[in-house]
Amino acid sequence: MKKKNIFAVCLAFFSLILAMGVCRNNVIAANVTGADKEEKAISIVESLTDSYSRSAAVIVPNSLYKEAFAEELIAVGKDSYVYLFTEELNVKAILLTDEANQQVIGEITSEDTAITAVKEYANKVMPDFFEVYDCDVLSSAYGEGNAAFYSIELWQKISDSFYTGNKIAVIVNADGTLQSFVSVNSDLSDAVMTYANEDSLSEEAAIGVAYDALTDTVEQLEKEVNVSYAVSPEKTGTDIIISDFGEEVDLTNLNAELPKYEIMIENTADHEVVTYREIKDGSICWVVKISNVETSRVWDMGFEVTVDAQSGNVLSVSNTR
Amino acid sequence: MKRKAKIISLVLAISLLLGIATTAYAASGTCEVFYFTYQGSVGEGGSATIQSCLSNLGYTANRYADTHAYYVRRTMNSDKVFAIVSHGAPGRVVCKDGATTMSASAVSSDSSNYSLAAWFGSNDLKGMKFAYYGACNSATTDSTYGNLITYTTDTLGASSALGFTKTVSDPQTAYYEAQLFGYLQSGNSVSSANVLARAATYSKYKSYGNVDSALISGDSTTKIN
Repeated sequence: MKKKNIFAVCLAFFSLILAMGVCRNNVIAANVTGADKEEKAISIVESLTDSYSRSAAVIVPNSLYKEAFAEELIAVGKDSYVYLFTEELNVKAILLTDEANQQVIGEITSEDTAITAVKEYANKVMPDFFEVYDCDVLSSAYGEGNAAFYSIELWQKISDSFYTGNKIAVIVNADGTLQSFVSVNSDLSDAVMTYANEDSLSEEAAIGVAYDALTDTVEQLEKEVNVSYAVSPEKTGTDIIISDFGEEVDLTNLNAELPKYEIMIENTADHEVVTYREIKDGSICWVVKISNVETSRVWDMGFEVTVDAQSGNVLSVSNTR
Repeated sequence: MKRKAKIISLVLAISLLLGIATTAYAASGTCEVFYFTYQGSVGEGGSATIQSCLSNLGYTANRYADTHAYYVRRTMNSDKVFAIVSHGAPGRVVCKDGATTMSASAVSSDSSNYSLAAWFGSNDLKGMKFAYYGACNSATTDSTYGNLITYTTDTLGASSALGFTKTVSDPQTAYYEAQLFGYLQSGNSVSSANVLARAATYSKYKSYGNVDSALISGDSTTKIN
């Protein structure tokens, strides 16, 4: 009887350890909810990956995934990746979560071959993306040696410089291993598409609206009175501040030699302006990017202004750091 | 009865040991997070979330605003994690009032610049797990001012550092850095947290705002938890 008690205690203890392990891996049974969808999601993942690698399993999505990608997600884990599906079983993202077992999506020897590999992989993951519309490719190469990678975006387009807003963004290492795949969608309802074919604000007019908006933004940035008070303290000390070259620095004169803070928005000759139209939140928008804007400090600035192409209203203004 | 008591004691002891082992993994040490609110500044960005994530991990995480480059740099060698959210230009980040900068290399022609090279010696940051330079071009090499991320790891000995090789935009960068530290808090490596934060940013804003130009120097498998 006593031996049975010892056995029971040990059994309970090991069950507890096992349960903790299962919780750590966040694995849940596939038939808890929406079993059919989950099975379908697993079969999609298996079709995208090598048959000899570890089997796919439904996992509980990290709360951060839900915040960034969608509230309702089906998440499938396989090898070092998490595959996130919408409730409609569209692939929302494929994310590398550790470096142990990475997936090669194609042979890459250059930026061009990286683009080819990414397009082929995207076609495998989301064939619908390529059915109706062509796409433009935006690519950038970063890093060197073993850390080299390509960031490649596919923008579905209606016509030249006019995009649906449906996009795929892939980051792939120079050795062909996938870091991430993300798809974003737009509203391509009949109403919007009809609206897209109507006359709208010209490119020149959109640039004019963008510059007008920047005048206001720049005024705000230049006004000291509009700087919000810091909520954290300044870090200080009792040291006598010595410059890198042994000179004592008088903090009271910190700004004495600084020119007035200005953003040279009127020096348009130096600016680089890029425009395109895109469907955003059910509206046709002009996106006007103005970069290489000089300031009276060490940093240049860039701005992105989004203008409703029908009403001419400014929807957003953002700036670089 | 005695044997039963022994078994209960044994189970309690094992539970206690497990608890102690878990507690031992909680992070400790000091971290510093800097942001700036001068004219035309970036503002808080994701600095509040960064501080919160570091505190949740068990660090003593202090957040400072509008600090002179001299004081930003001064105690970096005590930091387990260092983060700065500001404007930047190739080779340097901008500090108090936009009037002082911090770079890797010492620059004799620039009295407003405070360099890591002038303050620290080789391996002085070997206790630092991660340095985040959240500014435009903070990972770009400048022939005069050097490269902040490679100097931080390769010369000063920090485990890892992350910066950007392009001009980065807000709100994307503020979101990215908040996500980055969220994933670091969850136990991801710097490399993995970067992959997840970049993807999350694209999903949220339908553009990277150039945070896809994030580069990591040093050991990208470093974890800060």
